[in-house]
Amino acid sequence: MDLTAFLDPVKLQDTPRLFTAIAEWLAVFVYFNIYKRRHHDYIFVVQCVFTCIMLVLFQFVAGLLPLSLWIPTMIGAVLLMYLSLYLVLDIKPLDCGVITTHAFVLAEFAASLYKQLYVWLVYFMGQKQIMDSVMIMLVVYTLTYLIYFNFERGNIAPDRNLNISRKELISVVLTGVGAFIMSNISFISIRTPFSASENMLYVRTLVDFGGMLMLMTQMGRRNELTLKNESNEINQLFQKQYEQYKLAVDNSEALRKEMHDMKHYVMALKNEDDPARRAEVLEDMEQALAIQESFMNTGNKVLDVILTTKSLQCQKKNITLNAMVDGDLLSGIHVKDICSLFGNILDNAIEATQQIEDAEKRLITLSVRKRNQFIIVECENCSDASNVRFRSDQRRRIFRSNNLPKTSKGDNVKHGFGLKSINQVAEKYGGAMHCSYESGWFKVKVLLSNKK
Amino acid sequence: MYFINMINVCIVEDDLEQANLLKDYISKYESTSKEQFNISYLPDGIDLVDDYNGQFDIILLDIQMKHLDGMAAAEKIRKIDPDVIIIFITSTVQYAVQGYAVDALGYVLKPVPFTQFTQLFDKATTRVKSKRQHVYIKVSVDDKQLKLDCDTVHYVESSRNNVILHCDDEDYVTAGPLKKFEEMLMTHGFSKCHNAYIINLSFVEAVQKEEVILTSGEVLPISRARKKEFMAALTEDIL
Repeated sequence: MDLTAFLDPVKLQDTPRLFTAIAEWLAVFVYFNIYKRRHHDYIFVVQCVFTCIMLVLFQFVAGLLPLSLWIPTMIGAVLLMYLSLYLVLDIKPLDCGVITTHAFVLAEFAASLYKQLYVWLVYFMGQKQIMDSVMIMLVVYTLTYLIYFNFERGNIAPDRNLNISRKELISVVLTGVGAFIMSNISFISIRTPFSASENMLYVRTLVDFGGMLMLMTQMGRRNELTLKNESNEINQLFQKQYEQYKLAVDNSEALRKEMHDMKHYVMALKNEDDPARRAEVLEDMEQALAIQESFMNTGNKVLDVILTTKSLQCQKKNITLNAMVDGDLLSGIHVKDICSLFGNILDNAIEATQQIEDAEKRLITLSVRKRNQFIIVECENCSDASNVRFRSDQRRRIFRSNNLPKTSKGDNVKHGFGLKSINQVAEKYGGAMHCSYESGWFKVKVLLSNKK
Repeated sequence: MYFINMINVCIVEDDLEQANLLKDYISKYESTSKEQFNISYLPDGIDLVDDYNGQFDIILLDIQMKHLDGMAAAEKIRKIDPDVIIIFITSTVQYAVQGYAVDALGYVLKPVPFTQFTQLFDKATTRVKSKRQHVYIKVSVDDKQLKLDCDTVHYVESSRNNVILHCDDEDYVTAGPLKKFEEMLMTHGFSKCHNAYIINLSFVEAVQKEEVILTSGEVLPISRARKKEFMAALTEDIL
């Protein structure tokens, strides 16, 4: 069997196929360790071995094919890298395209650098031995990938989707393809204006390096922007919180005034004989009492503000909000997380409940309680089956975290984050979220670890 | 009087009219469900506390009463009976919000709307039923067949070819594999936290990064791969 292309090609400037395969696999392996994976246990190890064998086998077969098929085999290799990444990582198709481009250019660069150094060594030492070739490969690959890993790790958040847009993907792929064409053009023909005849190995390394740098810078800038947007969002959240506090202050002002007015109402009632006028005064009193009733006192100031605001909102929409809450339990939870957790839970519940025709069914019950070392936050609300979107033959449905109910609002870019952020808070505090829908009741249950 | 095949409900309410309304609601509920209810009526918290010995499954408790208010009554009851289900029927939210202190199931504001009442009552009856229902597993220990109540099993451990069932007061060793028990127990509030352990979720005291602490104080390992599923099962199961 002809193994020369695979291990030690005749032409000095060609990279052995095996080394190309190793470079490609290491490149995807770097990303296995940067981005979030689907599996962590032995399955991941099996996947690594499997993808490695796949890439090596492919290069082996590619080495047996005639040179005219070089371009199609390159495309095949890229596709295999894409598949490997998609298989191992928990990633969206477009994001995977970007990562594949990065990995491919990285592999090209590493292979090219190795070749350049090896050819240089052969010129100086004058001898051609496989052992030297392997040694150089090992050193070059180790260094390149380690350095690259350290830089790229800062550019990509390990636990978040990149959410690449189509436009971004195109620009990244163009950069990658451009670098690839410019770096390899000398090998196809030395008669183009961009071909180098003497230093072709050096030019290849240089162009690949440039391409790699460009891609990394692009990703770095993107990551910076995302972080900035995120801090903006958090600021907005704080702003919202602050507004809620202000509202609460306004509310207590209003309350004091109503209480003061109550005296006048009573006086007016005593002296009033006209039944119509009496009814009017009584109605005013009722309203004043309603405001007072919506004040919650749970033992946690932040939660009190949220509950008061939401229960006023509920009153306006004729929704009954029943809360049984031990606010003291929440002292270990960050203010931001309390806002996010209860804000989202209640917003969802109000949104679903207000659409119900029958006013008696507009009901939300919230409870915060302790079981062993856990805090349980549970919210139940009536909801139309059409809102939950479940199959008609089911009466009961449990939602898994990767299959949360989708937003019922048209704009799914801005909406649909409620349940996700509830889940995030739950996981942050070592717990989990559970959603279910049963005979007209939608239930969200959040478990938090009580660390005290 | 305690009827084992009925659900025993007590209405504690000083306003007779309200009490009758609740009675009507319960009979209305009874006609649509398969359950049968035995309804008692007491006019004050003091009557409830005086000779309480766990004879009720569900107590509907008014908060504002003359001699002994509902919250205080509930506190005393809880000391005797940790299982009885308490539902507050109240005219102000003020105290009801604190119902968690006596582990109440919930509260309804007067005038009590039927839908709200049904929702709470439904939950209460489901709980009573599940508490009464016992699931048994058959295990052969030293050539003898044992019938074990699932509620007494804390956790199941696989050890070599055997399986050890850690129960309330004794450990039983039986032939494996663990998988056999996994199939039997998963649908009854158990979950696997590790290749070698299946835990009864109602005995979980706390979960830390790499271990589960049981109410008995025992500490078992939790594997990273199973943690997510375990936490999901726990969240679903916990009351």
